[in-house]
Amino acid sequence: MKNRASSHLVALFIIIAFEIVGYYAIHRAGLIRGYQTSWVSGMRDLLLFVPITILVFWLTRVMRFVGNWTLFTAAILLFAVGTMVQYRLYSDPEYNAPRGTKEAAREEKTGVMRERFIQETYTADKKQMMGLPATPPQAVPIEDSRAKQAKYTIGDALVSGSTWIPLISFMLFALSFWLCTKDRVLLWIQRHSFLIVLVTLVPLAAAVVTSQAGKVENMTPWEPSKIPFLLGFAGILTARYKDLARTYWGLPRAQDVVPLVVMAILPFLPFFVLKDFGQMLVFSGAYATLYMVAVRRWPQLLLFVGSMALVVGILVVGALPRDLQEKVPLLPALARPVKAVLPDRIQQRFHLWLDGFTPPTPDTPWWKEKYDKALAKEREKWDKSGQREIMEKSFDAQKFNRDVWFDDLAFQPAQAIFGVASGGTTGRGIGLGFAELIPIADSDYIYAAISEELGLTGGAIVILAIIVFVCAGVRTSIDSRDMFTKLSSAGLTAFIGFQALVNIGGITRALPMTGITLPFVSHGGFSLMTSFAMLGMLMAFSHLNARDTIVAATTVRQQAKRDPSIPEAVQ
Amino acid sequence: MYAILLLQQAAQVAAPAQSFPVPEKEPALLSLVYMGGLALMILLLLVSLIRNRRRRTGLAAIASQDLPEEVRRKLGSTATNRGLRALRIFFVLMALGVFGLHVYWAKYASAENERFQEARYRDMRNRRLAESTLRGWILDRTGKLDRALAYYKKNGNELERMYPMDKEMAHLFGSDLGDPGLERALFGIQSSVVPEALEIVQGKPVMQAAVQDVKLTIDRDFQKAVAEELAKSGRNGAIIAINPQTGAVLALYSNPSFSLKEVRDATTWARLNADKRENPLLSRVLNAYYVPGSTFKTFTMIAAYVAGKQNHTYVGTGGGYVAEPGARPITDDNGSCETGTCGLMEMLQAYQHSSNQYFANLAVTLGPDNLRKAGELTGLGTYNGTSGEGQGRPAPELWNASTAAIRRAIAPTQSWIVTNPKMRRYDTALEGFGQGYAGQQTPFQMALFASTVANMEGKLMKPKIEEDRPPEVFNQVVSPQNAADMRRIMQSVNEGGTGRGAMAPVKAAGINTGGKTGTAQKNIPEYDPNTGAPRTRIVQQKDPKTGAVIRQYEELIIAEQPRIDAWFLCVAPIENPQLVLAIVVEGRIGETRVYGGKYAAPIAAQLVLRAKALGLLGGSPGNSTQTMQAENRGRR
Repeated sequence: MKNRASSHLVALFIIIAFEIVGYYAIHRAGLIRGYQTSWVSGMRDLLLFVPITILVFWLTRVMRFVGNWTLFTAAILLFAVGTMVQYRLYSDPEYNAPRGTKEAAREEKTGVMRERFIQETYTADKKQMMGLPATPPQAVPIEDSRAKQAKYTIGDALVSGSTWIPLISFMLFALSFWLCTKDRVLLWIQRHSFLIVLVTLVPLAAAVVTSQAGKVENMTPWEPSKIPFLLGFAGILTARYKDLARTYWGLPRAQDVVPLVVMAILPFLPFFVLKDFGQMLVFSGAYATLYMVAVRRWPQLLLFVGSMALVVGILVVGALPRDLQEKVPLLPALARPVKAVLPDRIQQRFHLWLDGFTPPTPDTPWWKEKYDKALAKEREKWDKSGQREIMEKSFDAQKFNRDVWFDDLAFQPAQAIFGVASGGTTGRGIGLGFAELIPIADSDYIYAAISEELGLTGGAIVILAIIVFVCAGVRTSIDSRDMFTKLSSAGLTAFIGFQALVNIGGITRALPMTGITLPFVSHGGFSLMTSFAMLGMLMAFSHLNARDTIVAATTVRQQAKRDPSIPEAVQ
Repeated sequence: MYAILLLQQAAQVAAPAQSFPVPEKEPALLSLVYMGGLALMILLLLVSLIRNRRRRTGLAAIASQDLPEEVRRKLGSTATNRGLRALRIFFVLMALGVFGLHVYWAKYASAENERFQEARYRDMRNRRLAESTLRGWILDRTGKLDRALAYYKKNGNELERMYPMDKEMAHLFGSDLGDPGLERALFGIQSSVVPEALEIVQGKPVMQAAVQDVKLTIDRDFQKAVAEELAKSGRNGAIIAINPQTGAVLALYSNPSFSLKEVRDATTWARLNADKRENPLLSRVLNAYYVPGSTFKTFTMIAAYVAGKQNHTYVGTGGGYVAEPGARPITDDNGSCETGTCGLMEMLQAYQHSSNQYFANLAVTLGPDNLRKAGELTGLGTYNGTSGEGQGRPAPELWNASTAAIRRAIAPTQSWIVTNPKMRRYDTALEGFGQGYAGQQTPFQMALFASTVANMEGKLMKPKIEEDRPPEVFNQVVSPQNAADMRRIMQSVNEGGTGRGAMAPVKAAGINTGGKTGTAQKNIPEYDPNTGAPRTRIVQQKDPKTGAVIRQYEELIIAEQPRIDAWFLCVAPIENPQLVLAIVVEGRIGETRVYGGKYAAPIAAQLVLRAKALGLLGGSPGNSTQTMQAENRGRR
């Protein structure tokens, strides 16, 4: 596939064609499972590809885009997989049902399946015995079953976030692309990088103050602030990297390092308060990348990597399951002080990561509260039935602890990993899995839903798309002429890449689960907008590189008369 | 390892005949197409990435000229780009690592990760799969729908699982709480065996074997009769009926039982579970240990035939049999010898009149090694001591069943004896007539002994619960001739021995039967009369010198008076046995006059007559040449 707009436009159309196939599969699977999918939301989703196509034309015709199209197509492919899985999940009445009515929604679905099963397999005798009309077994086409109708009107679609968020994302993509192709804007950013960071800190601080509890209804409004932080860091590094490279006994001067460290720590503070540890992880990954790219001094690198490894090592040691700790001498003694200091939330996440199938003892500080609450609820039930004394006697605390553990904290990760396991190589088939029983399967756990219904193949498609995206992003960074765009594009690539890794790793248990989204794939409002804005910037940098190359080439060859916007001139 | 076995077995179960199109095929095929299309796009992108790899910019990076040469070299474009390339490689490796873990969970975890396997039953998908279809119906051995043991009924808008024999089948079916019974074992759905999209397209059935109807070997009417007879006695007890030629279990019931409908409520279940005195949740046939008493002589007899010592003789005396110097003499129940057991005895005479002395002496003559050999052949556990690994373990391997889950759901607790070569002769002697270390026998195991004798070829057939399973041999225990001999010996009990009175009505009906009575005392704990929980006391061990408490533990309080249990083993008709009954009836607390012949044998008589009426005993008995031969031999 050549780097031509036409080739990638064809690729886009092919993706849309297969997207339609996927949507039809969801529709058919829904009928089997006892629900009807909504035509309105399906059409809405497919129509979202119209603005994407328009974007392609806008890029070629208006912006004269000559950069790397692979970035765009990889991102759109991820977006296509994401919308398909989200459509699958949101079509399921059980997934859609508000809390407390899930049971009823499920029974409605199973009722339809059971009825068809009886009609198709039970003999007339059996039906008669059951109290049904005695008809011989007959095939029931899935179209004829009483599948639940979807209640989604055009009016709903017009006010729905699922309509507007992608549209806003596309607009932000165009806006950030347009801005970043302007040299004046880039220069302005570099000159005022510190100021930008301080200004974006204000809304973030507001978020910290207003929502101490964490996420606001599954939204993360502070997500876009990632971009100014990154640009700010890149700007400061661009200004200082030469000084940082000047070391004394392997260390840079304090006057060079301190502003950088302050810069680096600033975003950590609000994320720490907001308990968004995933974001912190991604930030550190991006910072490390930028620092290593800009300042390549072995002692610093070793110091950096060594201290990171030490911190991670201490964290892991502190959170290792007890029986594993006891196998290694000295480890318990080492782990105890760490355990005392580590926040409960981190300990809990680490336990779920390393030893998720074993419940902690009821007296574990971060588990005690939930356990006691469940126990009190159970006792209340006994009191109601008047069997308290007997129940108390036959009460098996260990079993109860296990039950509560798997119903509460371990429910989501355990059901997700069971889903991954049940997917196998080719998955259960679109709509034929049980991804709807994983909470938040459309956003944080979307990779689990993909691997359940599309199996390893679907997982491989997603991971390869991310690899392609990152490789194209790194290529953009390599091709950059000035340090700022080089660092910015490296940072943006690292951001998207690491965020994807941290998300997928959290599900496959390579890392603790952190609750961040899978870029382009997840259904997350601000996350999707940020990702598309980042994509716009990356493509703008790629465009600048290619344009400059063409200009340079034409200058060198004294071919000033040729139109500089023709991509073939590059070759 | 175990998970693999389960998987394989589940895969082997034949799929139901599907005459209708599988609607799942369409979305499965479409999702394959979808994945294929996207995979193609990704490959194209990869190719374009690699093709563009060699492209270089025409410009060198611009490094400030005011820097020293050495620094400038290091800051040059190539060096910076080296870092970026390292980042790229690092990222690709990380991504592949994360994907590698995905491969691990999807392909290897279910076979290799023990914790994952243990937790797997909490997969909510199992429940969803079970809910989206219906469990199969459970039918009795006739397979007639109107004799269904479990079926569905439309109740308003709800489908309700109905159990026409709610109490009678409760132990076999098992409730949703506690350990799984047949209901959960037969229809348990594993999400791990559901086919993948590719397999669906290739034609692997989506519908699980679990939705098929199952024919059990249980005879609905006979099971009901068994429950009725036991209820009539007004006592706790257990009865199992097996066809010795095929191993088919015709009835299996123990009193008290519970209602499957009532235990859907968790508190009711907990209340029953807490009642350890009546213990209604316990299947006494499979999982309760009884002292077998004289019925265990059947095993000693089998052991003698296995060892070739069936011609053993012994002279019964009033003083009893002294197994070793200084040991307590072993006598019959009255303290000396009874009518027919004094003087020179052969096997037949000793068995007919249930001589303790003879069988004690026989066991000592055989020795622990021969007892062990016979035990291994008949499924009895043999151990070197009274405590240790494996004792009281479930013994699923005794069953002939299609899946491991079924075997496990109805696994009997393994009965066992001690066969240590170094054990005291007195202990061996006690085992010979069902006392001492032989005190851990389940009615199920006793039925296996009787069924060995009753098998025409001297084989022990593995018991089966599924009608459609072909019979399986557990072991060839004795020769057909020896088995016939033993049947003759068992017949003599009902013709002129301890079972004669009770079995007279059966004889009058023209059915020749064999049997063995037994009576045994069992020490039982004291129970709280309100909750049924066993009473315990705290025992403190004190240091004799200082008086300090060394050790403290809780101990069951054993009732002063032991419970007396009545046993009866029955084989009918003796010429070509189609029915083996093992019956145990527990005495009430404080009751002393309980005998196998008086309490258990009459139940057997009623049940044999009932079985005859139901046609379970096969062709017309009484006139075959075999009977004549048996009688002739008896006279000889």
